[in-house]
Amino acid sequence: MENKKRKGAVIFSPYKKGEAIKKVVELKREDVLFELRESKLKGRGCAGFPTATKWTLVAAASSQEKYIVCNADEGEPGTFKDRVLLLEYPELVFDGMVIAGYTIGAKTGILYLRGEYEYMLKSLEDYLESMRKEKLLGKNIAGKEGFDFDIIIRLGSGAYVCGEETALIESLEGNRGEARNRPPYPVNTGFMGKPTTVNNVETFAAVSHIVVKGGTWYRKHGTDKSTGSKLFSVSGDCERPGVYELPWGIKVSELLEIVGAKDTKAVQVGGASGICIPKSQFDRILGYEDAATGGSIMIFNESRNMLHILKNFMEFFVEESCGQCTPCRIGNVKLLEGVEMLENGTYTFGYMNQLKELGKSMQIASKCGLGQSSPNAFISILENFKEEIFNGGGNHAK
Amino acid sequence: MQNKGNHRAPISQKPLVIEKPKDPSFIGGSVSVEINEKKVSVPLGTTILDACKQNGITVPTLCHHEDLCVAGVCRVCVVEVEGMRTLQASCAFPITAPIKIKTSTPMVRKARRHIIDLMLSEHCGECYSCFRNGKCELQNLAKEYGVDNYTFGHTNQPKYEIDNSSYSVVRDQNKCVLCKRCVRTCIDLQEVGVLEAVERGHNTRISTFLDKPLLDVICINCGQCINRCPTAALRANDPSDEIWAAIDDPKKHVVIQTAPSPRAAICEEFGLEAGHSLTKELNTALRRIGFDRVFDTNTTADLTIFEEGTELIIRLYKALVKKENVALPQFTSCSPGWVKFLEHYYPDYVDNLSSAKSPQQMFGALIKTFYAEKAGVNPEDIVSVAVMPCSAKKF
Amino acid sequence: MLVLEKNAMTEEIEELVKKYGNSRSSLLPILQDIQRKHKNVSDFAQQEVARVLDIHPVEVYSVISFYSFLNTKPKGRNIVRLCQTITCDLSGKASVAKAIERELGIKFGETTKDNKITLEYVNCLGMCDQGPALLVNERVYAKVSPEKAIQILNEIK
Repeated sequence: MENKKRKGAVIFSPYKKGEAIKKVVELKREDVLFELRESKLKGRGCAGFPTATKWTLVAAASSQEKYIVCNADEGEPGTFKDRVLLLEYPELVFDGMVIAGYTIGAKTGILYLRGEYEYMLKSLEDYLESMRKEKLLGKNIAGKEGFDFDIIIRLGSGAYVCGEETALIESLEGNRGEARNRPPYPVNTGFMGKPTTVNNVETFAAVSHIVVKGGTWYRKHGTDKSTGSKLFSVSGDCERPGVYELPWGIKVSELLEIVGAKDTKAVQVGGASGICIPKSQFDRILGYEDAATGGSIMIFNESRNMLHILKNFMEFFVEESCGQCTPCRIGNVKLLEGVEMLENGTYTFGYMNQLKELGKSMQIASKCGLGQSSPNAFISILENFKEEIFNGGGNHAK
Repeated sequence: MQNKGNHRAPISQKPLVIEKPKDPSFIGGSVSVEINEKKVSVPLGTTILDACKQNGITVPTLCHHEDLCVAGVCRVCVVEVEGMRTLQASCAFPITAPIKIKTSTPMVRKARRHIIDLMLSEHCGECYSCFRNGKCELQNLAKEYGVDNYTFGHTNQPKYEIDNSSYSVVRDQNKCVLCKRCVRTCIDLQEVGVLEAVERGHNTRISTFLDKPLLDVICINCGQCINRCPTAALRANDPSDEIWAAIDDPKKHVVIQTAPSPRAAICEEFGLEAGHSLTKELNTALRRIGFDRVFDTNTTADLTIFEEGTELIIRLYKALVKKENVALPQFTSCSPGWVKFLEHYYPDYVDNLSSAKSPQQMFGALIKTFYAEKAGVNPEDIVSVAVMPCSAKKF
Repeated sequence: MLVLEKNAMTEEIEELVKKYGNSRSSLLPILQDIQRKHKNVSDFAQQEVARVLDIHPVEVYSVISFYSFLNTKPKGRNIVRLCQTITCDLSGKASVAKAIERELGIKFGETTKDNKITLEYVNCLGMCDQGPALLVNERVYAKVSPEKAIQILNEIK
């Protein structure tokens, strides 16, 4: 396996193992939170919750027992940046977790690694062992009296929905990966009912850099609302698929240029749960202010059949929905049936509009992010590729 | 199996951990909210649903049940909370800050209609041929929200076989809406743990260990799941055809005994206030139906008390006077559900059970012996029927 | 199941409980270890796990049925999973699938007669930049062509 990547100025900038840990133990907890607030770092999963706010809430909780969870259940189709980070830059991720432990006052960190990445388990365990030997984990880390923290790795078992933070916690507790009711949020009632912060792999990696180089340095990259850089997982019809570190605020068309995409018809931003952007909107900006993404960029060229793509997405959601809440469990099936009708030419415009309305209800009434985002592809593809779909799209070559 | 308190529920369905102040009049003990532009004050941690109820605002519910922990899965009770992007399930949302709630905006009504429509699309069969017709919570919701044209289709093809293996509970999953009330009842309320959701996504269904029929798992036949099922997915099996056949058979001598509780409970079926006893009316009705004799289970309830009481005195005598080793305290054996529960889960305590039969069983024995002799009827020709308050009596 | 096998399974599960602890949160690691070794979690194993963790057997069954990498029915000694998600699909999943099916003489979801290989589809493996991707037990193969797939299959013991 080879990992093609383009190094940017933030995440992939030079970093020495343990560098941030050695620096952080000299700082006060408030100082770390201050730097984070300065950096304006937002969660890199996709939801974009300010990391500083999340950590402050957990740090302020009175409980003695707290947990750090690193969400490496990277199941979103088209996302593979965590694979690269964990395989080649584990120091960034694990150092970030130790920093979180220090800032929040937790003793245990859990890396929830998706079952599909079991092949990494050995090397990650070995890496943790080497950290323990170098006093970067365990008791009195980096010589700081009373700073104890350790990381354990837990495997998932093939469930996309466990990437949702409360479903992930349920899974850690030995249950079905079904999302919880919120509030209360994990920051006050998380793993084992204790305050827990769940962050993306990339967020922890960014934290390590912020601690070393400062929040102001981080904020210089990207835009005002989306600071720093983003790892984009680029796949599909382009010459150079791989992981690209690019500053936030880049236009879709610029990104296509960089990765060598030709004859592009559509770009799916944010994976199966994201939105599909047609050629006419390629000047849209990637960032929290416009097209937010957890990093997945899938490129489709002129030869691709949009219905075929949409069907693949909907099949994915029907299979991966946890099945507890009504809109997501049955709604996705209805949307998939709608796509099949379009394929066979047995649809009516009236019913398709009904389905679009259903999709909108699913977006607001589903229990968790999966059901809330699963109709995105359906709605955006039907909206943006009307001509292709309704004018004999069903008989289009694949 | 040890009792772990109230923690048998799947954690996703556990009660919310929001510390509630004991006295809402303390500072910070209550919070003021705005429901449909009406300002009200509720104790901290009250759910939106309860806050609405307390102020006379109806919010439709399906998976919510006041006996059970929160699930928040049916999404029928969604409401708009100002400042939140998505709708919130009111049954699962504890109020901890001053918020503005709207319970019936166009967006909310549309979402509810969509949800009900989706449920109906997979809810097999027609209402008029269903025994719950008129008493079905899903049907009521559909009526209330005017969901009457199966927008997203409807199925008449059963997907699952009906499980009528059990002595008392019939499961028809084709009518199931996956509200998980039965799961919560079985695991959390009864601590029996026979039912759980299995598989995921669209294949999710409520099932037993290894999908075995109910008869083959450790169900105690208590029927509490039936009580809480909103649709016709769970029901008590109905032996009325057999009883009619016996009554219509001139050779059979059909007698019936009635327990006190159903004699009172039946009044609610006739629109009377709960707790109104209809013993005489019921007895007359049963005679008119064609039962040859109607008995009162009270008689054998007395017998049971004699038996169990005597047994207790003997046990106490052995323990206190003769210093023998006997199982104490003595548990009643009147409920077959309780007896089965003890046998499965706490077999070490079986000796503590009284050896007496339940009043119903005693009457059954008396009818076939003492009564048969007295009335001069061949015991083989007697059909003994009992009207009882609990489905476990069928076991 | 023979009594000896049952005893061995019970012992194994008790070892696992010693390793992971007997709280509910150790359920998944225990099941994963059983799955890795036996390629399934048998009826008996489910009951034993329920007993040692003090939960209901149906809860164990419910959890196993939720996760696609855990199963109760026996499978082949090796599990070959082909990614079916969009980028792998567009980069030639279908031809790889056909080649594998032809070579093994089974369809997806089936196991070879000699119990060597179980063939399955899987959702996104996180190899979207190098599709089509194939997961053999826990090892992942990228850029799998039909020829390469056959070669990989031949290397499986």
